[in-house]
Amino acid sequence: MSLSAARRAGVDAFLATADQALRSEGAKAPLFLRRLREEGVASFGRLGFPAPDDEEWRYTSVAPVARGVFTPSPAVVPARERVEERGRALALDGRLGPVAFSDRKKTQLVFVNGRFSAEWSSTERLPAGAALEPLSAALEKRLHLLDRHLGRMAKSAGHPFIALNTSHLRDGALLHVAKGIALADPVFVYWVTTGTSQPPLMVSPRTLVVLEEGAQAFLVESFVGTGAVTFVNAVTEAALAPGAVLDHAKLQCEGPETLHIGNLRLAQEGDSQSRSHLFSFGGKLVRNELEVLLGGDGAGTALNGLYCVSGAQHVDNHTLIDHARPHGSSQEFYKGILDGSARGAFDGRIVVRPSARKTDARQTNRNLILSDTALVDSKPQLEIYNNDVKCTHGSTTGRLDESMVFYLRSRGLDEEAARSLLTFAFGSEMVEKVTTNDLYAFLEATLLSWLSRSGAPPEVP
Amino acid sequence: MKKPLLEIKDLRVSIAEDGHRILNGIDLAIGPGEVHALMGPNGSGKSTLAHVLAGRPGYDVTAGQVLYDGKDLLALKPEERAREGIFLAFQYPVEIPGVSNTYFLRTALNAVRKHRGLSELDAMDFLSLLDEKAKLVEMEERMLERGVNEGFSGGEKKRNEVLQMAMLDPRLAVLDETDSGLDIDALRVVAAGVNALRSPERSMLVITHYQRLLSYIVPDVVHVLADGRIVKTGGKELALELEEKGYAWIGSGANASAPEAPAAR
Repeated sequence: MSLSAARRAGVDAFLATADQALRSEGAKAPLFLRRLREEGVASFGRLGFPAPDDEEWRYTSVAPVARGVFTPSPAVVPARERVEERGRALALDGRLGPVAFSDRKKTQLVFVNGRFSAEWSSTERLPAGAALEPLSAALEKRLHLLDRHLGRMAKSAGHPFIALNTSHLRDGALLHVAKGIALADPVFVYWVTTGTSQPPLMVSPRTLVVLEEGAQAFLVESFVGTGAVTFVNAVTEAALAPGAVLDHAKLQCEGPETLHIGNLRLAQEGDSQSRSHLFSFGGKLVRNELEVLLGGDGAGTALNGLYCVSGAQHVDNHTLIDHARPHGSSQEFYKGILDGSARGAFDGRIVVRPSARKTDARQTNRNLILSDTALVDSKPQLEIYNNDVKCTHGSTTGRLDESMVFYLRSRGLDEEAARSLLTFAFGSEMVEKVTTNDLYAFLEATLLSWLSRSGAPPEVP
Repeated sequence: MKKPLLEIKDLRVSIAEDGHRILNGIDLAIGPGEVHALMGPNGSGKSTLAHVLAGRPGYDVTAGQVLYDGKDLLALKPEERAREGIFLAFQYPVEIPGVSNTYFLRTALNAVRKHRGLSELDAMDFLSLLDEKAKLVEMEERMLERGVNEGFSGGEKKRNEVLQMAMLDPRLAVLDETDSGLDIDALRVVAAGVNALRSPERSMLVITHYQRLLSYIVPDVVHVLADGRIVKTGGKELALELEEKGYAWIGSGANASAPEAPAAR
């Protein structure tokens, strides 16, 4: 594939920063990791940024990323800058309420601008057989595990942004749960960006989750950031051995100038179950990609998503569920609330392969439009290559039901309160699917505060 | 008659969307504490009148006026009418998933109380009031925690309407076909709830197609609506006469020079 001269120039700039990073570490990194990065460099060089006519990117132009100039967050920063960075991170933490990280009450890893922060991380409550640690630490203790899994679910060859992330891979998070161990409480990974620098920062978060046979875990990945222009290119990959159960929540609450490309890849073996919760509130340009490979008999997944955007925000949710084996199930339910002149997209593809008989797949996308200028594209795609399956999908986009508004007003609620309450109710259906208290409280508050920015908030129910 | 609480004078209303005339000059006065029944065949304009009184958008008032407690009712927003003490029990109550019945009732009650210069009820006082009123309509606690009317049966929805009425304590309740879709047991419960709310301070307009409801909620006055105007007014015995003779009897007795009104709604 040959890229045009203009696109080539943009790609080369990103490759230069990757080369720098590779050279600065020299031969210190283990061979497999160096190879992984080199593969990322080569793949990104070959693929480049998605072209305007790329069907997978038809609703989203990545020009703000491709034409931008970004600097990878440095491995080491001077002491004075560290103090300022810490101050800004704490200011962001103040908005996290019940899921704040600075109190270290939970099992958590915190990364500030991609660098591991030991100060705020806390993992001593984990039971034996479970590990949550930075990749830098895991490289010393679990080289074999990383070698076996890193880059296996999220492959550079197939995706330019996974390739770009991999080419800059320096640190990240590893969650490993041994056979038969079930974690009682959710564990958290925070990706905090505090950029103010010129040129803007590029941060490449990377998370690897490995659940051995019958293991159970709930991982919350929280993305928070300042108002400065920042490019966050995140990749999370998870391997679920037979019978494993993974809950994953992604909280995307970055600043209004953030460009966020996130890729989540799950590969599931027989009878494993996954549940993904996506809550996307922040950012100027956001792409949330999720691919689930149901690669074992009886594997199941539930994908829940809520995106709330206003102003000139753009959010694109792109999912693929690949039913490769019999008796698999998937329930996908995404909702969007769009205000101002925001743009949204839901592109949900479900593939049922010839071997995947007795598949049960359901997909729903509902969008609520609050203004005349907001727009959403909804594109369900079912590709079914087996007759012995149950598959349904539905998509609706509309405004608030005026008969509901009138009903509430006829009981004394003013019009604004009625609309706000109904909008909250629309979104809270997704929040209610989150069963852990702290997370639920945080999400409810976040939804309310989002509503208050785009109208009058209802009182907290 | 005492000074009426509600006074409708020559009210003419069309559907905003297509200009269809529905009400062709309604005159009606309801005094404090009085219960009036409004009967009539399908399409005579009964529900339109109920909606116009509650302020539902989508109707054009082309002539006439409505005075409520001496004030111009039609100038008020729906929520202002509710706070001033008008309550419409819907024929088809709306399901609102995601808003719990309890939360909804509390928000509505506090909006109404605030307007009346009363303090908002705290959670404890609210719940004990709710508990008391829920007994009136035999409403179970689990239904209070569900979304508003979400998955309720027809009878449960109507009981929920009466519960809301009991909580909001209106001065004028308009019951729009509260008997429709109810079996006889549900009808008894709903009617008992309504009767418990009868008082000298509360007027009611009970809209129904059938006489059956009026055996339980006995009206002081019965009006018959046909082609968008009131064609007959009488005592409670008028309902029985109608039941016996059918609406055709009224049709023949109506003013022969009445303009043809479309039979929409």
